[in-house]
Amino acid sequence: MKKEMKKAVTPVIATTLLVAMVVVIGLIIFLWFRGFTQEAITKFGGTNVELVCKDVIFDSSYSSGELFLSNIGNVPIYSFKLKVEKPGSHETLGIEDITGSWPETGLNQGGVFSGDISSSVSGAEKITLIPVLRGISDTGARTHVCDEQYGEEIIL
Amino acid sequence: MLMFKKIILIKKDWFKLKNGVKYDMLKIQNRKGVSIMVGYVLLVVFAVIIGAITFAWLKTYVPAEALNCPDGVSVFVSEAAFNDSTLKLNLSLRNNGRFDIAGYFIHASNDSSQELPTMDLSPYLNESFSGKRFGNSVVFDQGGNLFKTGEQERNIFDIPSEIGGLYSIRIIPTRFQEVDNRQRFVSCSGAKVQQLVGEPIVCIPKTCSSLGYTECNPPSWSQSDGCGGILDCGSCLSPEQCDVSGECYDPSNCMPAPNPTLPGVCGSMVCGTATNGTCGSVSCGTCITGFECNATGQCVSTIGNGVCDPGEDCSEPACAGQQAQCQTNYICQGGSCVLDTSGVSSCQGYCVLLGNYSTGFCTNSVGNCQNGGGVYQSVGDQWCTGGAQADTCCCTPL
Repeated sequence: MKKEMKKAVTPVIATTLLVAMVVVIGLIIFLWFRGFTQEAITKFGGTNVELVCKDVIFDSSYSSGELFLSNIGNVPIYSFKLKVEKPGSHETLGIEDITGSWPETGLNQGGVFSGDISSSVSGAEKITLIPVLRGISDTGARTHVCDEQYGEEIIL
Repeated sequence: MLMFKKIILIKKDWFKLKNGVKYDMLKIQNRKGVSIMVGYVLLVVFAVIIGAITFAWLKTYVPAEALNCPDGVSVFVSEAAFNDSTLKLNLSLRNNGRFDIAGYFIHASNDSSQELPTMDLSPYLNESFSGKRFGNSVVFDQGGNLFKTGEQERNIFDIPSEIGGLYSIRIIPTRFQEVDNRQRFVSCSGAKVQQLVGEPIVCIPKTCSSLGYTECNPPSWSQSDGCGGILDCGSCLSPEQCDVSGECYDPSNCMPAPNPTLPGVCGSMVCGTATNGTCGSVSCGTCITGFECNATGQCVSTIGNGVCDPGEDCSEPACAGQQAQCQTNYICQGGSCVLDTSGVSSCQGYCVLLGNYSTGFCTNSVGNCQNGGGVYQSVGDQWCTGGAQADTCCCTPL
């Protein structure tokens, strides 16, 4: 029995080791798993910006090289991504990169925009306008590109 | 604790029976009990932490009700007429919906190939006639949804000559709605109306008082009301005669101009006043917004005259420091519109003035501001004078 009593000290160390291992492994799994999930970007006091994307309403048209946009909804649109589809290829461009007249604060309620994009869409068959929203995350203000399903297609 | 003791006693009895040795295992059992407690506490703590993290992440995915107008909002454009000579757009709207509305966004195009009007006309609203500018929209009056169901309103826009003619306009009604105990300005995109702009379709007959003929019919006046009707503003009792201003005078007291008609007195003048012989003066007309009457009775542009006239924007140097055509809370500075911070005395006031924030406060660092969901606004630091612990202006988004 004396021998067994000596072994009884081990459970305290074992428990401490177990707890330490669980904490370390848990931390590793958490950091690994976090790589698979996106940081939550919120807007309007806590709604995930992915959900806000479905409330974006805007009108667009294209004529003679000029793009016309009108934000008719209640969600400010910070920017747009233009998916320019050409025969056999496509590229995605930021609207502020292809036209210098894009307003710095984006299109608020009732905001309108018109700008020349002819050089960027020459030879294209279709462009898709994908809204970009600005929200808040733990690390500050962040932009979020909405899914393509919330975009609007213009056949050229 | 009771359950814990019971487990210890059962284990103790079992040990006695199995080994036939009497010794007290309670001390040993108690040590193991501490480990179990630690295990439980850790388990619960882990569960709570994981639960809190998961909740914080998932709660952002709870759908919130979108900001929308009710379905019954509707406006009817009863007139959208642009007069090429006066450069005025007459807009008549009727609220034919089931809800009161506050105002509207108005956009226009001056090209028939442009499908989507993108020219904001709200800066050109003639506020002296009716309506108020509200940001980039027009409201019928400030204070709420004051355009009631069934009512008709008329607004006039003074269109700058550089825009030229108007082809089509688009109206999007707006409303104030209470959301979470706060008034929100809502665009009613479902009730948008687009219409071609035409010549005036509704004729508003002139009256004697609108023409200024208070006593009689002036000489050589056609008595037309402008809409096919005849106006009779009266006649003078002999020996009095009617002058060009529509007022009676006694020829024995003064002598009017040889040709006492409006063209006869005014000649080439299109504005200002001209003397009618020795019988006082008559008005030869007024200039539209953006023009003023010079000494020879001609309408000339007000740009560059050293005065910030109505309708002029920041390109007029004299408009520096004034709102001119800038949106609310902005003034002209260096030829463009900048935020007017002259009335601001705190970080909070500055944040609210920016428009996208509900409030603001001074904190000790940018990181602390952003960790709390705020947005750092460096310009607002000038009002954070509380030392190192309060030298950073942090704005709270709406």
